[in-house]
Amino acid sequence: MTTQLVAALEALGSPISEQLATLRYSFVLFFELIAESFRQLLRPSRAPEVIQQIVSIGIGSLPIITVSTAFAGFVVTNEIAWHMDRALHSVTMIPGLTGQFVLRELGIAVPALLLVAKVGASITAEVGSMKVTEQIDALKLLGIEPVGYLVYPRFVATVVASACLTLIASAMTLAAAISVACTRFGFSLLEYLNALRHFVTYRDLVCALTKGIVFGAVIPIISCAYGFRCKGGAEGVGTATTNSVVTSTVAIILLDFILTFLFTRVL
Amino acid sequence: MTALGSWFISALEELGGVTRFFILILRTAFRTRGNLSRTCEQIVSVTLRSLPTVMFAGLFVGAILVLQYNLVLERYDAQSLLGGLNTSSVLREIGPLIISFLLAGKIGAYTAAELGTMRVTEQIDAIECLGTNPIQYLIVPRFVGIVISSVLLLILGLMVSIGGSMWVAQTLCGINMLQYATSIPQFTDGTTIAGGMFKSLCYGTIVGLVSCYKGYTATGGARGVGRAVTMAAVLTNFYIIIANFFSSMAIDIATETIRLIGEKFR
Repeated sequence: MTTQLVAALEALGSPISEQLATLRYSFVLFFELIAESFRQLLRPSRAPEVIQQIVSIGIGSLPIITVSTAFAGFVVTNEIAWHMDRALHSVTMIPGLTGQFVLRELGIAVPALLLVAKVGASITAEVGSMKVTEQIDALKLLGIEPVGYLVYPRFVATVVASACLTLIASAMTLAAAISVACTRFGFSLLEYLNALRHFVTYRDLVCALTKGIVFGAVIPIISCAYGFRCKGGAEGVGTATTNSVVTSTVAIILLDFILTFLFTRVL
Repeated sequence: MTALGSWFISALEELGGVTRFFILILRTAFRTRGNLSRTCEQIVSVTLRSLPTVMFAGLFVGAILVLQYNLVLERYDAQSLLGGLNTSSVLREIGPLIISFLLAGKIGAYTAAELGTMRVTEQIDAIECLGTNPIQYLIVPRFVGIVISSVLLLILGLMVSIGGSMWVAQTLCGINMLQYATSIPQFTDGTTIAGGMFKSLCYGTIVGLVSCYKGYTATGGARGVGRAVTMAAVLTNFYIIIANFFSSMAIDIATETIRLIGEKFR
C-alpha cells in the first residue's frame, strides 16, 4: 500500500521536479549569457551569426505578426467602442481607451505570445534535435562552448527582433484602431490623434519597449534551456518543445502582470 | 514583397490542407462507429493535464486587464464601471483569446508531438497495416476529446479570471468587491456569455484540428517532430486570431438580430 502510494507520488512529482530543474537551469543560462555578452562586447566574434539570426527571426516573424496584430486591433477597438456606447451612450472615450490599451497591452502581449510559438518553439526544436543527435556533445568535444556558440546569437537576435517587432506591432494595431474609429465611429484622423495625445505619452512607449525587451529575453532563455535538457529521440524533442511553449507562455503572462503593476506604480 | 507573397501562398496551401483534413475527420466520425471509451480517456487526460496552467493563466489575464482598465478609467473618474467593463471584455474578447493561446501550447503542441512521434516512428503505418483506420482509431477520439475539454477549460479559465479580477481590483486598485460586482450586470447578460461560449467552441475546434493535422502529416525524424510542433503552435495561434475577428463579427450580427426581433415582438 505504502509502496504504491510512494510510486504514485513519484509519478506525480517527477515531471514537476523535472520542470523545476529546467527552470533552475534557465537561470543558470541567463547568468552565463550575461557573462558571454560582456565577453562578446570586449571581443565580438559572433557578429555575423547574430545578424543572420536577427534577419531570420525578425523577417521570418514579420508577416504573421503584422497580420495578426492588425486583426486583433480591429476586434478590440470594436469591442471597446461597443462597451463605451453601452456604458455612456457616447464614443468620446474611444481614442484614449484604445490608444492606451493598444500601446500598453495588446500591441505587446499578442506579438510576444506569437513569438513564443514561432521563435521559441523552433529554437527548442532546433537545439533539442541537435542534442538528441549528439551534435552538442560533438561541439563540446571540439572545445566550442555551446552557450556562446548556439545560445548567445539567438538570445541577442530575439531581444533585438522582439523590441523592433513590438514597435511595429504597436504601430500596426494603432493603425487598425484608427481605421475602425474613423470608418465606423466618425472620428477624423486629426481628432483621433489629438485626443490620443492627451493620453499617450513617452511613458507608454518606454513601457512597451521594456516589455518587448524583457519578453524577447525570456523566450530564447527558456527555449534553449528546454532544448539543452532534451532527452531521447523524436519523442523527447516533441515533449521538450511542448514544455518550452507552455512555460514561456505562462512566464510571459506572469511577467506581463508584474511589469504592468510596476509601471502603474512607477510611471 | 516576394517573401510576403510566397508566405501568403503557403498560408493558403496550409488552410486548404487543414480544411480537407477537417472534412475527412467529420466524414470518418459520422460514418464509422465512435470509440466512446477512448474519447472519454482523452477528455479526462487533456483536462487534468492542463487544469493548473489554465487556472493560473486565467487569474493573471483578469489581473492584467483590471490594472490596465483601472489606469484609464481613473482619469475619467469612472472607476465604478470597472467591474462591468472588465468582466465583459474578459468574457467576450481577451479571456478566450489569451487562454486559448495557452491551450495551443499545452494541448495543441502536446498532441502534435504525440501524433508526430507516432508518425515518424512508423506506428501510424503499423496501425494501417493491421487494417485499422488510423483516422478513426487515433484522430477522431483525440479531436472530439480536445474540442470538449478545451471548451470546459476555457469556461473554467474565464470563471477563475472573473473571480480573480474581482480580488485583484480590491487588493491592488482599492475598489470594493461589492461595488465591482454590482456593475457587472450593467454590461454582461446572456448574449455575452453565449458569445464567450461560441468563441470557446471555435477556438477549441481550431486547437484540435490544427494539432491533429500537423502531427498526422509530420515527416522526417526528430527534427520533423520539432517542426510539426512549432508549426502546430504557430498556426493555431494565427487561426485563432483570424477566427476571433470573424466570430466577433458573427456575434455582433447575431446580438443585433436578437435585439431587433425582441423589439418587434414587444
